[in-house]
Amino acid sequence: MSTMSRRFHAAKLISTREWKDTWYKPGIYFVMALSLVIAAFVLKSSLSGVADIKATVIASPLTLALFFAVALGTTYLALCSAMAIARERETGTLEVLFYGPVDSVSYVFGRFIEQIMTFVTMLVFFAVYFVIAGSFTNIGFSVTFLLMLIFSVFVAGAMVSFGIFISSLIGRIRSSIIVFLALVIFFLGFSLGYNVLVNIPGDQLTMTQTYLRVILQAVNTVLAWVSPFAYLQRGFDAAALHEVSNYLVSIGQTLVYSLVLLVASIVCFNKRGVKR
Amino acid sequence: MSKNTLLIALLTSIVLAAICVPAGAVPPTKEWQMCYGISAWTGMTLEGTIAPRQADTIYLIADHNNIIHTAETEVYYWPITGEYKANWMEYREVVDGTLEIYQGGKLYETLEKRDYTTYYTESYGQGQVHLAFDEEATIKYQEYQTAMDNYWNAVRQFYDDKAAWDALMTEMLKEVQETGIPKKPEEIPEPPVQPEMPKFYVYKPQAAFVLNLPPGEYKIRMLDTEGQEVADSARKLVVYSHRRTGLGYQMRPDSRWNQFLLSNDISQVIYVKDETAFYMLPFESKEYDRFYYIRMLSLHSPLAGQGTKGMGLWVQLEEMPGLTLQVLHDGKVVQEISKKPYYVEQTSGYALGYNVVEFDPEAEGMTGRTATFEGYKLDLTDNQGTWQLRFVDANGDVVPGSVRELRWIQDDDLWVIFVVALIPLLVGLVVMWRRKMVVKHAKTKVAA
Repeated sequence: MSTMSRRFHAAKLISTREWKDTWYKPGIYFVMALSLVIAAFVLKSSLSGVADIKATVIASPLTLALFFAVALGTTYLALCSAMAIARERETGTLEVLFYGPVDSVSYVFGRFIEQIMTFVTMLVFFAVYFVIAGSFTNIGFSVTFLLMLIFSVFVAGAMVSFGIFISSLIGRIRSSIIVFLALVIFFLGFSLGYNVLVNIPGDQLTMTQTYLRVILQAVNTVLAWVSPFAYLQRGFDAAALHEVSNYLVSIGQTLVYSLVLLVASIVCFNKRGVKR
Repeated sequence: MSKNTLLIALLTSIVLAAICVPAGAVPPTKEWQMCYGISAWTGMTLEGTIAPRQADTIYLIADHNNIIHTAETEVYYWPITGEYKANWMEYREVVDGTLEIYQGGKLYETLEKRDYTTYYTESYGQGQVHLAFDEEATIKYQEYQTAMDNYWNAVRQFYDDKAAWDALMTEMLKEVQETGIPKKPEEIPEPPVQPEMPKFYVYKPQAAFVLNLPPGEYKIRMLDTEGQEVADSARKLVVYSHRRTGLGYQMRPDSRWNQFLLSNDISQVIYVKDETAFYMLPFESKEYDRFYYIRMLSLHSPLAGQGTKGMGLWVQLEEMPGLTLQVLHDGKVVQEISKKPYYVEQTSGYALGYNVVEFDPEAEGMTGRTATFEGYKLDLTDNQGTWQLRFVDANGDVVPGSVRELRWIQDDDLWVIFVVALIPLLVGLVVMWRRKMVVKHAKTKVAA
């Protein structure tokens, strides 16, 4: 058996076993329900807005609802990865595994594939929900939305690899969770805050707000390549505008992002070792 | 030092300056400098701004004529509006010479000043704005002047004729009163007709640089008549093009006829609930870089557009003429709508209210009135559900970017979407219950 096929076999075993295990725990169902309830709130507020003013022109509210659902779902999966890796390192399971046929490559990719499989399953629930909600409210479920669903799988990959990277870098469970959650909250909060600030009409902006906007723009330039939510936004925009080339470029960028972080995680594992 | 750092430093200085200024009226400090006066093409018209020494980059739209004037004047910062002002009214010393444009360190073009004029096709400030250059500018202006001279001559003639006609009428009236014999209609001369003012306006030609460049980054500087660089004349020049094109909809809902809903790209959906009609107009629209576009129009305002780099801004341009609005249901065209004039009729009584009716100048009560607006009326009263809208040209070809979806929302019993959201919990309970049963069964088997 060659090294590659041994690694593939080990990664397959890890991912399948962990994927099955995920579905026997209540967390995933709770997170899916929570994501969809948040999505329902987004839909309800959009519909109430339309009903209040009789007519409006907006992007499909399903897009925003999906954004939140995917953001929460992928954050949970990435957090699970970070926690699982840190826990296995702390309990010594990782060390035991590495005495066997498992190495850093098969372990990292096994964990990654497991979470992608989980997200795809999650996405089936999301898709069913959005088809029902879209038909019931007549918001509609279009091919564009299908493209967004597909794109979210790539973003899930980026998010999970981000979680794996944080965990491989830090090691301790508590520190991993704190750092990961702090970064996710910062990414999401920043994205929302900057969007709000940018959409204030120029004549209503105070000098402080302008000052803040310039600083946030500089930060945003960096975050556009670091935050998985920025990739999500770009992909959704390309899908909404039917821009095939931009859509494909976004997929390519997200894949590169995931790959870079996975390779970095492997390097971290190899440097730090797997001992407690 | 990066541009952002510079900007932050500038903002900090402004804040500090504002704090340090003692209370009371302080006249702004004026600085004598060479200042560019820019008439930038906005996609539809020319709009003016100034580029004082403090504005180091000028932004212009590519492949269109943009006008740049050069003059020395007093420039000052006016903190109340946060803008640089040029004291043109008191001091304006035109700087003559040539404008050098560099790209990638190499001289790209050298421009001489040209005579130009802007003219409006309908009246002062109305209708489409056009540019004419060199001899054509002079001819246009002469045409306008001749038309205005003729108009004033005609006005003078009109008042003379009117006075003569009035006198004749008075005489006839006196005669009728004296004789008691009325005049026959053919004996009464027609009153003179007041002449109409020329329906166009042409500005007096001026000399300026005309920049029409392809997209790119350039540097400019001005050389005086002796070939020396004019102080404060070096600037960066960013010439940009649009990022996307589309067909924009301007929609007046029947319930708010004077408030437009705008739709610029195909990602937007028109959601409706209980609206009776839309009056739509198609516009050519282009998406520009928001930062470039705002800076282009507001170079005099150092904070305008800051913090919006990389973002898009849709600009609706000219109305697209000669189109037909098609309404589709399940992929089939169910209605074709053409543009018509409409009149907003106030309801009687004290309470607010109006009706939008099709305008017919010959209808009773409409004589002497003009239509309030024109549009493609999409009646929604009997047609609910999901539609597709699109504009087609005279050949029946669909105008790119014109397809929109219109959906009637259903917002009753929204608790359903919350209940459906809980389905994963139900699935989880079933999976875990089954798992528990399997484990229990296995344990029982082992125990047995």
